[in-house]
Amino acid sequence: MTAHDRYLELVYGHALSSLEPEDEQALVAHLPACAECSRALVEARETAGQLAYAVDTAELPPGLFASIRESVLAESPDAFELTPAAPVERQAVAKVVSIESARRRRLETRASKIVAVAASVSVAAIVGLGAWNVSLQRDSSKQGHYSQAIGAALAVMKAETGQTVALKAADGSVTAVAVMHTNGSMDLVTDGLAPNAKNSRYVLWGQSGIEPAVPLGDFDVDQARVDTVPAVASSSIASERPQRLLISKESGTAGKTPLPGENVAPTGPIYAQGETT
Amino acid sequence: MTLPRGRTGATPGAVPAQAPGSQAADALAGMDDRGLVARVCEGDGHALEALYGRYGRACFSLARRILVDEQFAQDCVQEVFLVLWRDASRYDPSKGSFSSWLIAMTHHKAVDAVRREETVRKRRAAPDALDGAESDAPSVDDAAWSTLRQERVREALKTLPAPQREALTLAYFGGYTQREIAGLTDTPLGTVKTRMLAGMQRMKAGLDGLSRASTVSDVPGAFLNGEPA
Repeated sequence: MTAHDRYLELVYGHALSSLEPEDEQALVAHLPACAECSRALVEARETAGQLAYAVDTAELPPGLFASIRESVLAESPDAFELTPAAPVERQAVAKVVSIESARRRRLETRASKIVAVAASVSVAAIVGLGAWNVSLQRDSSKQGHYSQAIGAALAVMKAETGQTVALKAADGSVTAVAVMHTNGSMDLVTDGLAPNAKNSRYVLWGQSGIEPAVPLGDFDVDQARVDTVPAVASSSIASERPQRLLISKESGTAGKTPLPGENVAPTGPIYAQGETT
Repeated sequence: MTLPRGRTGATPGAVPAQAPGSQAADALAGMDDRGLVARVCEGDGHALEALYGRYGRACFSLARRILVDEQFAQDCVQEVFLVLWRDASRYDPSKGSFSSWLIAMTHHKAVDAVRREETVRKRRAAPDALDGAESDAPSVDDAAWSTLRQERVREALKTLPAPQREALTLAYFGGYTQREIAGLTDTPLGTVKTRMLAGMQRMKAGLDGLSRASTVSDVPGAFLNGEPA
């Protein structure tokens, strides 16, 4: 077997969602530079997709789309008001918030969000399988499983220079990973947080022991996809490394949600949390 | 493989049959997948419903097969379509068909759930689990095309050497990793990988023409109402 044949095996193993984490990583790293494997992956996915039709056909549960519709309406109240002949103009823009910039601007002008797409573009580039292709990867620190897309984003952010902290939702799924760098700064990679409404923001909190949680930074989520929030917090905010990180959603627009370092407590629902030690 | 005459009643150029939905969604039934995805990107919930009508059953059937539990399968499908709603722009046509993208997402999420939920580990995909199984919900509206495709895929699986078929079914329907399969079958990991590669390549060859066909008329050698397509 040639060295390249090995990657071909990984391509088909990936299409079957059966790769071990280290093999998944090896494939992700290989694909951007290999047109042959990229083409093979397209074919492998199509073939794997056909396997799905071998199973027994099941009747759709009567209320399933009603549940989907309800969730859609909660986010987009006018989603079903349009007739097929009247398309809606909706801007689907991937946004990354630089908290440091927002904080400065907030102190100066109280403006709203900054659009910074460089990080998200690099995420899309690194995830050579396509930003939509998500599979599990075991966290080497055994903090939990997080998506391959998060893993790829972490690679871009050179997470090996810092400590990664997995923040989990109530169901145990990892919805964010914080990278705590040795220089005191912190980046955040999210995956799957629901987009927040215009009158709310996500807030990252740090907590130690029984001390009250301290807001470290805030950010917006426009789309429930992998997103990076560079420099969500810095060492100037927290006097010491927190033992626990939490993400809540707080009411208020930019500048009106808890400012980093403010002496306030989370009032909104906690969406994810993780231990740093 | 030549399809039997008279087995289909699909109209030439028709898109896959779908479950009836709202009137607005039904009005979009003639639009192709890309058009519907574009409309979802624009915030059209009816387009989402149309895609659900088109692929919901396939997604749910697959999820239920992997997860066994009906509620988990529903949760999985709901999550898939919400991801589609929130970020339909993730779909990249250059990386394959929409149906394979959606099915792949469903598969990933179902396998993720199986691996995450130890209590749901009733998987099991015995290699012969698909043999001779009858559909539990034959629908009058179910295009004969779907039945035909199921038969072709099952036939293609049957033609695989048993070790290859076992590796594929344990991976795809059981959610096992290659290392787990190696352990289950008492086979070296490298052999499992090789079997998967060989099995998938044989499947691809056996399903040639089926993968990218969206209607019966796209399938080589297909016949419609007794006449060549």
